Amino acid sequence: MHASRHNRIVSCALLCSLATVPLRPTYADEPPLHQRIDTVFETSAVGPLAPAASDLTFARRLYLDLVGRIPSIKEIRVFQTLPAESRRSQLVDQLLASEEYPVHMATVFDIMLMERRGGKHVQTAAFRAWLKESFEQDKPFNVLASELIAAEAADGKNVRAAFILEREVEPNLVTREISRMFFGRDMQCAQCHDHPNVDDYKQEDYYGILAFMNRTSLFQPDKKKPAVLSETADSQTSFKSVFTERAAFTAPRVPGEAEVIEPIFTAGEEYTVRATKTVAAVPKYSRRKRLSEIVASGNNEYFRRNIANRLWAHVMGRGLVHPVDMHHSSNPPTNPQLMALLADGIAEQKFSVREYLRQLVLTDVYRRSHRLQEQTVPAVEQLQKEIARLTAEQEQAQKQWATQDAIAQKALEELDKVIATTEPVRAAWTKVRSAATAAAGKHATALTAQQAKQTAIDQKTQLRTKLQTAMDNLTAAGTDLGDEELKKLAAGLKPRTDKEIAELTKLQTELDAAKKATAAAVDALAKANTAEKTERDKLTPLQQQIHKHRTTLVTGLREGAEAYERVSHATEETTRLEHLIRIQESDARLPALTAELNGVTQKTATQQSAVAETEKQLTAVTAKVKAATTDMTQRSSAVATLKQQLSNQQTAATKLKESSTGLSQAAELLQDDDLKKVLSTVTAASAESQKQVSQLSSDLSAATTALTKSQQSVATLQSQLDVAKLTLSQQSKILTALKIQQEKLTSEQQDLTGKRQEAEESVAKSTSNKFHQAPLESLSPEQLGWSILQCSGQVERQYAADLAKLNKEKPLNEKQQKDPAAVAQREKDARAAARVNLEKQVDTFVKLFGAESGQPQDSFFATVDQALFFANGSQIRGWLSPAGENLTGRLLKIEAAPELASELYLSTLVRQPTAEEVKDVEGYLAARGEQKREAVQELAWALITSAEFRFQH
Amino acid sequence: MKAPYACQSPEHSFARRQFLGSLAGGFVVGGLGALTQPAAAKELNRQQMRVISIFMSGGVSQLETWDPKPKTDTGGPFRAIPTAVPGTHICELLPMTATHMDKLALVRSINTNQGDHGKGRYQMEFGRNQMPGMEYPHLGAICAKGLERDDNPLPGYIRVGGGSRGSDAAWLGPRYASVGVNGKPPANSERYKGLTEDIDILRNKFRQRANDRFLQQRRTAATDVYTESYEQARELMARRDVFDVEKEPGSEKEKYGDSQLGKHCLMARRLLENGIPFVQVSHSNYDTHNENFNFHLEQLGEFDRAFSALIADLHDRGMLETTLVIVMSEFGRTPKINARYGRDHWGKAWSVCMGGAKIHPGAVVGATNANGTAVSDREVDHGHLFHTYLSAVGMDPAGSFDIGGREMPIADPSHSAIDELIV
Repeated sequence: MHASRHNRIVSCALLCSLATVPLRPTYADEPPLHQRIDTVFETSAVGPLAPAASDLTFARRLYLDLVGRIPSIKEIRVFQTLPAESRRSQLVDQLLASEEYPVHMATVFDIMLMERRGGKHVQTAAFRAWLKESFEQDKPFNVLASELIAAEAADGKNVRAAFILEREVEPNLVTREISRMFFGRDMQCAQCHDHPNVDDYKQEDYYGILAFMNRTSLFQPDKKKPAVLSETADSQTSFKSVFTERAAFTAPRVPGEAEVIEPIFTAGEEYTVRATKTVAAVPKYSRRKRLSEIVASGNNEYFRRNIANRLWAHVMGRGLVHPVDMHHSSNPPTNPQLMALLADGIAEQKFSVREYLRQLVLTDVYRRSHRLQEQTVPAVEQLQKEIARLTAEQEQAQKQWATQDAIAQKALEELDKVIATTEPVRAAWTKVRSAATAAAGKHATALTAQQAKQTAIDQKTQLRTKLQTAMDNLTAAGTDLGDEELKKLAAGLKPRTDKEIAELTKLQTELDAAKKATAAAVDALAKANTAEKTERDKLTPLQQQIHKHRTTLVTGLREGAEAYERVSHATEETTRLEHLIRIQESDARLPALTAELNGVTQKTATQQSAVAETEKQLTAVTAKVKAATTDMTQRSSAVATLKQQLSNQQTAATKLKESSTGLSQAAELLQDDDLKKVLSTVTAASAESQKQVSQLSSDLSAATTALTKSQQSVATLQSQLDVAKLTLSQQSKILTALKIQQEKLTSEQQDLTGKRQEAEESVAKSTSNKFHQAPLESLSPEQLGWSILQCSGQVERQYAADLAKLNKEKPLNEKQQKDPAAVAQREKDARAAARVNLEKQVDTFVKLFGAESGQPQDSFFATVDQALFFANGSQIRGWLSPAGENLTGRLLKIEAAPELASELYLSTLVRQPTAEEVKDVEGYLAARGEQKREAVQELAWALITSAEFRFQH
Repeated sequence: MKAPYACQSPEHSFARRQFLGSLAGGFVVGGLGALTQPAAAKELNRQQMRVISIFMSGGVSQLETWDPKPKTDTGGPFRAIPTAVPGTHICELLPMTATHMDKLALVRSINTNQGDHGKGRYQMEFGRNQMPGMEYPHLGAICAKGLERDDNPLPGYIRVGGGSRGSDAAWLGPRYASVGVNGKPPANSERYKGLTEDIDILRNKFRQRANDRFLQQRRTAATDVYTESYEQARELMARRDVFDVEKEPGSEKEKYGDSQLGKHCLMARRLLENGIPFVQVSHSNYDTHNENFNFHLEQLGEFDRAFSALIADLHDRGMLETTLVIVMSEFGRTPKINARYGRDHWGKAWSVCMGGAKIHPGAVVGATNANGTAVSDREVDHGHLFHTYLSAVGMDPAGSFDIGGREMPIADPSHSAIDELIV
């Protein structure tokens, strides 16, 4: 996308990171740093970007960042009267020049560098006072850092040594902390082995720093007097990996650079001050001082990046590299071009914290709002093009890395070979060197003894001369005066003089012996030094080889890391852009998918009701079939019954007919009237029976017809049932298919929504990490405390009280009262006194809201005891009680709710309330009725405890 | 494109949490604790695992407690008595505890090789050797983090006795540092006079509305944690009696004994019942260079009563399955009895008692030789014990915490748990 620019900056980064490149010259025609930052940012920013925040939000940020508190309502009102086009830069100038700026910076740097350690050897207040003075003078950071490492003080006080002393001069701890604080690399794990997760952090690097520091120790012979630092002139730094067993040694070296080349003093000449039981040692060549000089040069790329990034994090809420002490190639800056520019930029500003901060807060990046608005995202094609570019760059960087890595690997092998060869030579040298050191010690002792003897002789000689003169004078006086007493007295002195002479002679003999001893010690030392020199001459060429290979190794590793940083960044950036694409693709696909799913859902519903209809029919037909079958069965059994009845009847009729015929013949023959009567009855019965038969026959015929009909009906219904069943089966099949489709579409939709969500989360995070929108970061305990004290009116109350106290204790006379300088001084003194008193209140916040001492102080946490402190604590309650012109006092005097809301919101949240918020305040006041005094306290409390107050936005 | 946190729907916030959880992967608990709760932590929450650690300050004698060697040159005057576990004997100074040994387990083969009070205590409570320039969280802080529950506003790591917040969470941050309680409710937990509950609700509602308006624009993990802390504070205010040991009936006090340890153990039970993940109680002082036997006789009497009451209580209330009980010390005491009838500092062969949670009831791991002068079987040290404690409450001690982008191993990666102790 912006390949040329990118390459330019990357190559510049490569150049500048070469160890001893001097500060990049500045060109008069280059635009100011803040404009260049914006240019780099705009040309490298792909994706949604938040608009500029309001001027009031800007003011709130600026006050918090530069003076450590929110602005007072008076300050806000003054700011608002400034011309719109220049008010921001005017405020920047004003705050950077204010008296509060160095005070706040002292706090910020104390927390950054000391992480709330302090108080054992150096009081925090004293250290902060020194920092404050440094920021008043705008002492460059490289100088400040070098002073902390050198820990030398012309005034004899140990304040500068706080960085080392408060870490108990523990060499490993001090090594870790120098690496973290000044080079941005937390190499703790590299103490025992190469860092397991961070490729760039080598044991080699760790011991390079340790070598600068492990000659220094805490020196405090008298516990009542301040501790000082003592440094020896001899020590070697070896290390062994607990993982790989690789054993090596190193000369002092800072990360990314070659071993330093050091002067070697002959044994006996290495100290400016030799250690005694009461005096700390001062070597002629101090490794700690050497490190401080390297730091003071400001040439190390890691040093530049570290402070540029830490100050960026201070005002922007987060580092380009985050965490700020984890600079390495797998944790690339979220904007590498910008990081390179900032590292150059701070050097260009000569490490002036004030000027560098000025540049940062003047950028558009600093002004950007903490929230995105509706934004157009670059088109997919554009994003894909950018991804293609990144992929190409990644491949190229990967190759560069591989090349450098191979160089480094080879150099490491060479180095280890030479180290193996050197080891016995070094051991031999170490032996003779310690012999020489011992000889030097003996020489020093002999010399001291000789000097002591000489002093004794001198004193004795003086005494003897005085005695002799006194005796001579006495003798002379005795002779002159003829006084025998005096002569006797003089003669009496003779044995005493003789004794002195004898002692003197003895001393002289002893002195001669001491001189001999010294001469012998000188000889021994000379011999030892010659032996040492012989071994050293063997060692020196080997050390030069080690130096050479190690330089190749370090350069290979550093350049490899630079290449790998580009690989990592391209990978991260690709992921981000892919997520942007995914969001767009999801957004493109989702409506169609949803429509399709809706269609299928509708079809499914239709089909579902068709199936239901068929099922209903099926149930009805089934019922009919059942009824018809029952009918058929009944009819069938009716036919059978009739058939049986008919058959019975027919048998009876036949029998009756036969009987009647027989009777008739008999009656004819017998002419028996009785028989005739019987015959007539039988005949009648027969006729009846015949009638029955014919009736049954016709019934049977009818029943048979009905049965046939019923059978037909059952058959018809049965075929209807079969049809319905078939229909249902077909419809069900369709329904199942539809349901499968619906399920598939639903899961696709869920999957897509989920992935979109994931992409959105990732983009949201990177948007803030890349400063496309301002990160939301919590206020530090100090910022929170001072902001509450400021907006509640406590600062002004304390000031008024301290001013009154000063005026009472030391009233200004009439002349002074008219002298503006005297009045201003008095006000300044009162401000200072108020600050000291209020610090105690701020300490409460530090205890509750600060992380543990010796731990990083930049991560946010919220605990119940904090919330309880706000909810029920007496301090907050006291500050919010209406009194005079404090916040709630002012609110109480305001009649109209809208004005009251305006005063409240401007004072606490540094902005005007919205219409909705005014209404909310109005409603609250109305609900609290007569109790306005309480109501204003509750309202102020609610806003001070709101998230908007707690966070920097 | 919209600001991602602009959507206030519950679905959205659910998905967000889920996402953060899945990002963490494995058992990496997110940097902001309560906010990012991966499935593993949720699982622990359901089981409500808890820990009580009783620290026998000064160095309790293993020979007068868990590993008696009667009738030997080092054994001292006390007998060994049988316990609820056939074959396991402990010192006669713990008769009531003996009846509960079927619920407890012993490790009798500890060699921490450390005779310094401070360093020994560090080993046992931090699971590592103290090294200059390195700071690690206390066992309690790790449990407070790993066993943290969304639904509990109370602090995660409580020291019974003392008042203020401790500095023992290192990189886990003050949220997980110890809070000392002394039998009274925490500071500022009472609504101040002149503010009624109704008005308190009213002002908090105004605060919440202000938050809603601000957070509608943008929400982050940190803003969630901040606003949530006020809700937790309000819940704690409602439950402040938890900390008031005076609410316990007299019969309970009688059971635990009228000693400071008894009161503290009772307090501890009350806290555990209310879902506090880690409670620490101390009993001092066992540094018996003189008159070892008299001191142990006196001290262990108090301990036996309070400890057995605690175990019985936890068991009766069905809490033992989810509560790990540890009785530890900075080291043991020398088998050799000195001229003042004392025993001196000794880290080479000593014991720890634990039980509950996933600890195998009745187990005895490791052994010392006949007169207790050396470990003879299954030697372990503080690192193994530390892993075991965490495994017993369902955490993965080989896992890591994600602390602001840094992956920090939960326990010393060069060690592992005593597997046979875990059910």
